[in-house]
Amino acid sequence: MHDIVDLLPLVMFVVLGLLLFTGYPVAFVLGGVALSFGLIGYYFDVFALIEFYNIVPRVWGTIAENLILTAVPMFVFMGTMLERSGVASDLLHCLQVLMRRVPGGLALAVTVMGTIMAATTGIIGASVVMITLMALPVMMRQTYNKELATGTIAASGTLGILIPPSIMLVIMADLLSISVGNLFVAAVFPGLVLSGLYFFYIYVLCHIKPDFAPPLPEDEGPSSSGELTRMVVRSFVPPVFLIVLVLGSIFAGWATPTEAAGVGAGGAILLALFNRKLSMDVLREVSVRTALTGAMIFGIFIGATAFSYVFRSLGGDDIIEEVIFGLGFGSWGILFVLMATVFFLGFFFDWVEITLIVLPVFTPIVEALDFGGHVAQIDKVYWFAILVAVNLQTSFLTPPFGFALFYMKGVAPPEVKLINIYRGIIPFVGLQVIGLTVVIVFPEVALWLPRVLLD
Amino acid sequence: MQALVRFSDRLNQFIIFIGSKAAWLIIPLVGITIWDVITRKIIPFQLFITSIFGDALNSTKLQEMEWHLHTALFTLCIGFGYLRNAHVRVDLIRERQKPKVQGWIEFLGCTIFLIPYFCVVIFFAYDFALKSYIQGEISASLVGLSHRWIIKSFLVVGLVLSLLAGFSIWLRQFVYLFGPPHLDFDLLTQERTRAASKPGGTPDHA
Repeated sequence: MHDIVDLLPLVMFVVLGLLLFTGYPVAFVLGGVALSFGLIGYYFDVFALIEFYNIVPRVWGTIAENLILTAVPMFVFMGTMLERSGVASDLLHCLQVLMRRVPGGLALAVTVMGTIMAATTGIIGASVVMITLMALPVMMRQTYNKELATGTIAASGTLGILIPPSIMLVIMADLLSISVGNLFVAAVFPGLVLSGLYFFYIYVLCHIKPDFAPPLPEDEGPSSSGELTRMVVRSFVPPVFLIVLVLGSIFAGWATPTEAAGVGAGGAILLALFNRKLSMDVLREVSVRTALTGAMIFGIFIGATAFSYVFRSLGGDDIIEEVIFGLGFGSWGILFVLMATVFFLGFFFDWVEITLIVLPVFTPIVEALDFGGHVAQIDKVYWFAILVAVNLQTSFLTPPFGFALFYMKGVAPPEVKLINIYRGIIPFVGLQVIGLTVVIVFPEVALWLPRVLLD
Repeated sequence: MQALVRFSDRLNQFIIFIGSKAAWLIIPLVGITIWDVITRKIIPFQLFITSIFGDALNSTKLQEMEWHLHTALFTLCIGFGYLRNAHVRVDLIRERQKPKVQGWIEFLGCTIFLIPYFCVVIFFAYDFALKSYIQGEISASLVGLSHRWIIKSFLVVGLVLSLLAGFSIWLRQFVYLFGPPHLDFDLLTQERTRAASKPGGTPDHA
């Protein structure tokens, strides 16, 4: 039998979970819980107060003195700048015009847009809100079916966490001590599989039920082919070129993610300049929004570092491993348990909390798993990271909690009810499950490209 | 009580001033990163730069400068982020509570979590930076930046700003919870509600 002291880390986790629901900022709850349980551990003689000192060099080494994480604010800056300078909405408009003759053109445009602009803002709430504000009013004006419209937007808006350059992948790679570039490459096909599934579903549905998606009126957009070309050159080519440049330079091994992020951020400034939207006010607003997002992420990062330090020091790693392996499941069973946990947590928390708090606990467990010939040992962690990413995205979309849906409801016009959003997202959750199954059954979907590209 | 709110306003001005200025650090960060890419990847350009600046602008220094800037950026903005309510909350329950309950959550959160946590971390971070200063710590790389204590002090300064932001929010909640109901000020942590209605009006506790 365990006595109470051995169970302290488990109690710590439960207390953290409960206290997070007070709604006090996650970053500070983490720090507070770390401190309290350090003191409780001190009372029980299993924690020395001087150990609190170790939190500081830990924070320093993992967060501050880390060139990889420097990519995070620069990617956020790039996305925010593309949005604020109107490049993103011009791109969406251009895609709509290009696809106006295709059934469900507007919905398909949103999917393509989500794929191209994925991840640039980084935080689920922010990207869903952005794409809802840009696309939903237009779709409502075209009397689109509400369910189709909201489902498309929520699913495409959350693609961002999976498709590179996703800042979630940057942070995941850093936590799992794997290469950011390789993880980006591994995420390409799973991301394309999902957006391909969305695309196919919307296309087929709108063929069967054309009244779900009335086309844009012919007189909208440019009338001559010359004007159309100009529009494509102005609105489509520059952002796509920028994204391809950023990703291409990483995939070609020509630039590190940090360098690519810097070039991407610089490119976004140039695009804003060409759009004649660059001013001191825009620059200030984008910088401040980037800084606030960074403060939010790294605030949690510091809190989570303190939390996991105390958690480990109290023997948390051992007890979690003991519990998980004590279940008596094989590697597949344990993988299922981990995935179910992540899925459940995704109902309540954004990826920032989940990856920063839970991933470090899971890492040693994943390292102990063995899938025989299904996944090679060296590829296992990449595969696991991709599974977590797809899983989290699904979780964010699943009613009744799926919190991408709440963000969407918050900015949707009043005639769109929560029930429309719930009903609209269900087919997409089905597609997500298919996508997740594909990656589980055929790990090569994720692992093939890194191998051919990088070896 | 009014004086406490005014003091909190002053604190906020100070923290927001520093935070909004620090936000600009993203611009040199992007600039230096691009500069580093160009000078390192394009060989003729690299030779040209080396012939002018010698080794003063080598890539190691630039890359260390990048994470220096990033560290300064996020440490100086954590407190600023709290004052702008930019930190993630799990808002399933809190959002539906009355303003008074939200006030209590914030008040207790600052008292139990934020203030003790930052006090402890600041205490050790100060020691961490001080050691660096006394030892004259420099980069582990031969050609890196010297004076490591400078950026380590930013950690201390940023944490102190965060503590001050927490203290300022704490003061506002204190006045809101225990002070006279006629005072009118923003609580900063409740997006739609104010502490009380306009001066002279009836307090809005619903």
